[in-house]
Amino acid sequence: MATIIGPNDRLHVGKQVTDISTCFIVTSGGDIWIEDHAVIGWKVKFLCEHYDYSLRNIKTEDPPKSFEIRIGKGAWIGSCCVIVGPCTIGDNAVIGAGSVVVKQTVPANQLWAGNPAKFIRTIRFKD
Amino acid sequence: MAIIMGPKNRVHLGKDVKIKDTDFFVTNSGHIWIDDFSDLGYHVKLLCGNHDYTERNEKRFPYPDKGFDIKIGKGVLLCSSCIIIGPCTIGDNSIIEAGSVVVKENIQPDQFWAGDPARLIRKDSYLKPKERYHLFNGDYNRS
Repeated sequence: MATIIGPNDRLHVGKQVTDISTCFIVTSGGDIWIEDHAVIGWKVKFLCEHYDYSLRNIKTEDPPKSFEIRIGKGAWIGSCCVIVGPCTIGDNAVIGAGSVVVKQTVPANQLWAGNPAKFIRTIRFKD
Repeated sequence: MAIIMGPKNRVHLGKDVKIKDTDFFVTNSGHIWIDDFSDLGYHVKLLCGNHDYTERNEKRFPYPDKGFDIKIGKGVLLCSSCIIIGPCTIGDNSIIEAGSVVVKENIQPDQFWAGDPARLIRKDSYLKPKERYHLFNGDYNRS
């Protein structure tokens, strides 16, 4: 199983998701939903963590829980990506390897890549 | 030795290749050749894996068996935590800067590449001391 920092029950993995044993997952700031048939690459980092940096002495005990990451059905997250919540990745979308997605909403059926991740093109499916 | 995902007999090393334990190789859809005297930093990722993204849902799972090879020449320096995505060829004595992402490039010998996605910074991988100062301050154009 993957390296999970925070409560284990906040990670919700659907059916037939690829091997996430090399992933690094932080759930202390919100839930992470990985829906059915998602293709997760190697060494992906899902970071749901946030502190109010406008305060001087930050309390590290209980961060807010509103930083949710949702990976849609059949989405492909390339290897070594970093996904920072709050973030939504649509159904059948593709994130290129090594890219960094920070607080963005990736629509369905689109290819995004880069640091920070940008829209590259819309995917043309075979069928 | 590095962490290898996929068939382990697909990694071909020359002599005196320096590899750290934290390097990460994926050989599911291609071979990895690293020639003599090359030097890999920490957390270098060589990824020869692919899926067909023009399919939907569970049809995306199968991956091709070959066609995404990575060939690294002699005396190449891959700095720490850079990512090389196949199919890719890196010529002799080239340098890839730390943290850069090389996607399907054909890099000639004696070149210096950096960035995400990686681009050609200079056609000479030998750095004078004064240029090295600008390089480590993040200003590639002034050097």
